[in-house]
Amino acid sequence: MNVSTASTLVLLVLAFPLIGSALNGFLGPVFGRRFVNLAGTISIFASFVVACLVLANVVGAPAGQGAITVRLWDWINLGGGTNLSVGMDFTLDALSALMLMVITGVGFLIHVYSVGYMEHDTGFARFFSYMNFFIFSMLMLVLAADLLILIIGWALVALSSYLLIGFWHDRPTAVAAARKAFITQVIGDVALVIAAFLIVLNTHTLSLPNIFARTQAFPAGGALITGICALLAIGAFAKSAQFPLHTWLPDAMEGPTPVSALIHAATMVTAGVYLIARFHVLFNLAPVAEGMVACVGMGTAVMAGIIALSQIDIKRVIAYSTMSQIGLMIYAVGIGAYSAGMFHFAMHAVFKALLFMAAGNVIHALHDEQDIRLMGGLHARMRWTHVAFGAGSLALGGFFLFSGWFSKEDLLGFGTVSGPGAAPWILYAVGVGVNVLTGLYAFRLYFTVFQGEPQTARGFGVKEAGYPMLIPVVILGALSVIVAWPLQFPLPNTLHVFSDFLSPVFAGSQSPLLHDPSFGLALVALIIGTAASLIGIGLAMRLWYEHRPDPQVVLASLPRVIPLLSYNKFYFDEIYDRALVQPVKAVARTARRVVEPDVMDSWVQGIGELLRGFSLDLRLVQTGLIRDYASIFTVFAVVLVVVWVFIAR
Amino acid sequence: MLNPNLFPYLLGLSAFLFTVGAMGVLIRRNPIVVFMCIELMLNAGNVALVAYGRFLNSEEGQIFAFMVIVVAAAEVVVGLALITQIFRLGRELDVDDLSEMKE
Repeated sequence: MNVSTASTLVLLVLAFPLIGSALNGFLGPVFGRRFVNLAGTISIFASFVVACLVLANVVGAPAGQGAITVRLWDWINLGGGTNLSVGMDFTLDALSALMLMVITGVGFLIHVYSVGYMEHDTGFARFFSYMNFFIFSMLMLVLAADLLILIIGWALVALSSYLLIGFWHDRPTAVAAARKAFITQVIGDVALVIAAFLIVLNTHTLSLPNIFARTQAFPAGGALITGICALLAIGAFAKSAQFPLHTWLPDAMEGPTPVSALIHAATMVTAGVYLIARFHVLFNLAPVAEGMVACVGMGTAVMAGIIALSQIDIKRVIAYSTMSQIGLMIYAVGIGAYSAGMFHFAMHAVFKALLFMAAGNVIHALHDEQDIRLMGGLHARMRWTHVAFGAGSLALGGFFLFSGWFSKEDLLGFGTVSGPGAAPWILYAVGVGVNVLTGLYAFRLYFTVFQGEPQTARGFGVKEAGYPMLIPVVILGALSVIVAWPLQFPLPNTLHVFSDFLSPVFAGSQSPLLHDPSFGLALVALIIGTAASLIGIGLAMRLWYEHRPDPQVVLASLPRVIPLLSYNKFYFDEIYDRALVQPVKAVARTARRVVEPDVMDSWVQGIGELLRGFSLDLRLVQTGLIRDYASIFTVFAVVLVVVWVFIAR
Repeated sequence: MLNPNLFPYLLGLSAFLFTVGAMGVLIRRNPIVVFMCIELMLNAGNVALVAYGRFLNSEEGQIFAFMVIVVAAAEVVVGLALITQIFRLGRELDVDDLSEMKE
């Protein structure tokens, strides 16, 4: 791959969604629905074709030449002593090619799905414009070879997310959710920007290849690099909805379902995983930060799994499962198993987009009903959606030979030998517990929604979704069964196409935490993990399909605190409300009541009052009597003459 | 050649005429009288100009005096036209009464 080919590919892959966004936004309302449907989907499909070309180029490149960084144009050139130069730099390598494939591939299917989903919505042009713009921002994020460009992409995806969560802007809840998501992500942006400042202070460059080449500026394990990595991780946590910045993701489900599938499951929320993988060179120098990332990831995975068990909104259950699965990915990149983390990202993108879109079909069929207690018995009435959802649930639950099984076991296999002491074993054990939880919540959802009997009259009259909404679901359903088969097997020295593909990206530096597990250890881990998943799925089947014992009975036997914590999402929203929102509001109220009237207004209005009073007095001079004016004129003329004659001389 | 000693008297005459005119402008309320007073002030200025021109041996003072006379004539034309118009409107000829521009 030479530079000109690479530049062309980068330009094209970025240009198509941007052009699509502009066409939809400016011309969509004029040309109508058919135009928007075509422009919205074809632009992403074109981008997908270019992404395939990128992949072919990266795969076809001779060994060691699969990565290329191109500068489209210079942007900022400070010159002088700092010599800081920022260009439109983009990298094509295995990692960005993988991200491109997932974003444009899954993105295209979701755009097709949106054609059906937004069929009756009047804001279709705006919707497709935002969606295309999101794809553009996300591609910019993953292609960026300069920290500044990356941050721009990072912020633009947050903007698209904000616009799309609040798409139905006449719903106050949607607007509040959009605001919450945006504010939370800005916290991450700030951390990322501070990290960028620290990096540029020490390496004098913002270009990613140069940063990674100048790591001698950072003593390994030092406070500086640990701080930088912690800040990068906070940025990643905000974007990827990890503890403690996770509360925005469930609320983000206020957006249209395709948005949840594309942004809040498949692509944007995994940007944090990508960020850590992209900065692996720095993270490998900071084992403490890596350990923190791994712990936060696993902690979030457990927490979100527990919460997912008791939620009653179908989209929120899937949202918490997303949070949980991203926790596993974050854990994987935390311990340095980067390609395992990225593998789970790719598999997760497929089956989670599928689950969301299938859930969208269900919601549509039930006329916007999202409460799973009012669903049930849909398996006979929505056959294709049911099959696809089942496949997605099996993949999510890690059932043997489904895509999620490959990636999750691959990731957990590395967990067995990560880092010193007992900590990795504890984390691994928790990971096995997450497997059980995943099986439980995935199949609680599946059984409650699709099996049993319809709980409302509406449930008897449901119809299968139309083709635009069904075909993407079925394609992704098939993919979530087979996609992992040719790529990776979760045992050492077996099929490793995927990690071999990514290995040039991560070859340069090795995480101090990671050691390749031996074949025997990996096999044991594989068996334990698979068994845990099966236990989870089996338990879910007994509880929510056979009702032996009935879930209500089990719930009653548990200590009261567990269901309470789970149902109320560990009270994070309430805690943040009390600890952060209310104090800020109190300060604002005080400012409004005391500072503004007494301090600000006193001088702002004081000046006004002063001038007003002066003018009022001055006004009296204007009497309208010519003789008064003449008198004043004369007096001043006399005074002037006197001054001139007697003083000025 | 005039006696140079007369110069202060001429300036004194000018100042006296000017003061009378100014006081008239300030005190009188009939616009016609006010105009006459303004003429008085202008002519006081003329006296001073001519006196200076004479005593400084220069024609400029007299030339300026002619200019002042022309301007005064023009001004009287405008002023008298205004007064006539005000009178035609049936207004009382009193400068204190003409204060609508205040608003």
